[in-house]
Amino acid sequence: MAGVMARPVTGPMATEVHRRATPRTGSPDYPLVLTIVALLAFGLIMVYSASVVTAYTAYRNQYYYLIRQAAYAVVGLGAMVLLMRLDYHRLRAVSLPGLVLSLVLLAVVLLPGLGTEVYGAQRWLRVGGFQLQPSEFAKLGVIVYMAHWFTSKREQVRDFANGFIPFVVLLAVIVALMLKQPDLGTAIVVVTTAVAIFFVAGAHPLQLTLFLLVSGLALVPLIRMAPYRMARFLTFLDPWELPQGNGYHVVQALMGFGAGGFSGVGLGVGRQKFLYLPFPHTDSIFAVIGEELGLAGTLGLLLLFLFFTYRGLRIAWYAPDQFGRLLATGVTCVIIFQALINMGVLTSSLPFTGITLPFVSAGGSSLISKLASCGILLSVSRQTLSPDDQPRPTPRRHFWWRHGRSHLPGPGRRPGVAGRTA
Amino acid sequence: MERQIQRVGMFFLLSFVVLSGAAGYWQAWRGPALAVAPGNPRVLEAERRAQRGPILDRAGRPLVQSEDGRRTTATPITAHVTGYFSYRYGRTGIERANNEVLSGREGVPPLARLLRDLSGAPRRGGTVQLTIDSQLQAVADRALGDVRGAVVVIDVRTGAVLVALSKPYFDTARVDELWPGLSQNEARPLYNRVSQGLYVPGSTFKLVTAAAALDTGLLRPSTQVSDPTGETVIDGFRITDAERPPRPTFDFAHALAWSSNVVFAQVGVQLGEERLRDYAGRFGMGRQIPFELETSPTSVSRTAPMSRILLASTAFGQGELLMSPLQMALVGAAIARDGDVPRPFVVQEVRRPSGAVLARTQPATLGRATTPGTAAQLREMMALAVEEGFGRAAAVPGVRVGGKTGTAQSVPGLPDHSWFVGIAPVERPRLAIVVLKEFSGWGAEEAAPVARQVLERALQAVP
Repeated sequence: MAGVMARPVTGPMATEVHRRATPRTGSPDYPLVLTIVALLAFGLIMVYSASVVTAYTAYRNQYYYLIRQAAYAVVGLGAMVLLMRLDYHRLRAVSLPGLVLSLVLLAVVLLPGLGTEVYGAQRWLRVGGFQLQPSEFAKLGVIVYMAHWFTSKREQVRDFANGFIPFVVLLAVIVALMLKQPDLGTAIVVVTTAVAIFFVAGAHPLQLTLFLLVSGLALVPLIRMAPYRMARFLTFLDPWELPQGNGYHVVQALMGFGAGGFSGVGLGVGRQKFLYLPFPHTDSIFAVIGEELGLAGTLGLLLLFLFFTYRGLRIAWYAPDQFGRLLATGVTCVIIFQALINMGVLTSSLPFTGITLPFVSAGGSSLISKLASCGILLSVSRQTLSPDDQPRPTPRRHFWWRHGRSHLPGPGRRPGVAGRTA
Repeated sequence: MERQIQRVGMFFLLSFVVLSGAAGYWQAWRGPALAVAPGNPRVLEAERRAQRGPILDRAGRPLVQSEDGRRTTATPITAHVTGYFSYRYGRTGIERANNEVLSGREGVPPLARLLRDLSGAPRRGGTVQLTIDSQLQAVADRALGDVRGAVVVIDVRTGAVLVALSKPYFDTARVDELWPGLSQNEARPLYNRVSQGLYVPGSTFKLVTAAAALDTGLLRPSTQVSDPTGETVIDGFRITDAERPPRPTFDFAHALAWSSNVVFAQVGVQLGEERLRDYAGRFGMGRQIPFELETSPTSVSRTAPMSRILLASTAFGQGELLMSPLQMALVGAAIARDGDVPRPFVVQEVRRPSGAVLARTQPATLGRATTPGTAAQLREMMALAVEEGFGRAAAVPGVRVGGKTGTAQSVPGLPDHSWFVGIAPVERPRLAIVVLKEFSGWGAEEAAPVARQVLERALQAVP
């Protein structure tokens, strides 16, 4: 790996050096910025509505979580703007230190006395007056490092010994640390995101099949080790089997969705958050949205995330090089996988696991790390080669449709595009 | 690379479509059912805020009301009719059967309901007025005394239940705090002996056997029968009378009055299993009686086909018979109204929160048990049993009362269960009564006097 680090550039040296000297930067992807701001605003409103009861019960201050969340949003937006203005290529230099720091924090949180145990899981580090959730930032560290590493590997990605094995080993270490907390939900998000990056980096289909097989087998001892995982797993098939036991959380969520119907019971007047639904302002906020704003609210939120997906993958599509492409893919996937899992769990479409809804759920580490990730995504977007503003000799394949043209790089492609041969 | 990104996009698009489907399923398709699912906090909360409607007796006297969100009871003696209402232990009796009205969910016009829900005004429940006469029930309570048992009085002309007393009773308003004691008490105070209690009926069942024998033409009241020794042997089993009849030969009417097991054993064997089961079924046995309160179905015999000795024992009221006081009252009521079995009911009227009548129970019949002629003959035989037989203690001065006592073997080593079923007045019956005293001895000595005290008052109360 040291060798990898020693090589600062990947493409043909001359081109890279030239572009590094004068990064071609445009404006960020404004539709994406708007989507993020919309999700954030929506989240703040819902955090207030969902946390009123809990906040008042615990702190005698109904605005407790709203104020904190707003502060986190400001910090997160600051981080986002900073990273957006930074040329994302500079991240390659800090990718290894970032990964090491992530691993250290993940290890430290497990140490007794340093990590804080909440609800039977040791996930938080106390830093000053704040609680830090290392796994949230570790996700970002993994994405940046994976993007960097696969970019360095180039064609070797498809190589079993040089591509597949290191990938699996690195992932296994991270997942093992996360499962020790235990935080199965975050581990699943990290694995799915890493696989998506690997896939886009050009993994061989056989490698992916093998990976799925291995991780499927790994689930067996995991479930054996913690019997509650099996119980949770079976609960989602019939949450009403134990409505006061394992199924309680999902049943309360579903009752909220049911009560919401098409148009919802009205913002702020939901009932489930009155200490019936666990974690109404964090993990379960989607159920509060479903109850108060109805199907209109849930479908609206789904559309926002879908549009986020579209813009994010579009940035990956038009990214100027492999590193940008993998970064954009990783950031989009980490956020969307997490959103899908959270919403899937609460609608009883997936087995239960506790995980926050990106941008919407209350929680500082989650929000700040997600906004920082978006800063990276927006940084990539500033250097994309959009067909709209870049006249080009040969039309590029467009993101959402194909025209049946060969995938081979055309002779008239712009210099600097990844995959271009010298 | 580009194709891969496209595939990731397709995967996400598909996931979003599936998730939208799931959201639509829970919110649109299952939504209405989930919104009122048991355990849903909004249902519980609405119920807590609701001013639950009162339960009144036939004269409008409140038996159960709501005060400051709590149920209060006027008297514990109607506990098993009104039932209890508890957030922890559920609902029974009328609180269960008429929950929709009492809680205010039913009986409110859609527009009024919408306005109420929109304004957030607490729900007000409707009123349930019962056919129970609480004063008469109190008379029955005193007459029965401090024993386990049941008293049922039915207005035979309609099927309205005037008295449905089950002892021991309890204060339904305190069920939450009393629960451990109530649920573990070996006297089983929680269950309604009137309709859920199943007992061997003893000689009171001879009415059913007699109905079958008369209606099928096997015997007439004047048919001569003989029982000279007070005992007989069937298939090696000895059958004895509780008391040897005063004459060796007598007519069938006196066989009922003197409660001759020997005669009824022989009648049962001659009738055969099929006809005996048929007539028991015509009176309602073996089926769930349609009734507002929880009922247990009675049974003639689990064994089929029955042996000769089982058939003989069944005919005089032992065997494997299981009878509830309510079912016994229906036998009396059917005989009182020319063989027609009335459908019993305890709810007279249901009213909206506004006071307007929502529903009034219409008398109905469960079917025909015997011909009017047979029923008339049985009435005279019951009158004879009170005038000359074991039922003398049930006689009310100035009124002809018909009846039949029963003494049913209970648990070995403990006193018998004591039964009485009666009708009054015999000429134009208005009332049917059943008294059951658990573990207290002879029907003639224990149950019949209770019936007299209740009937005296009931005949005044029900003109």
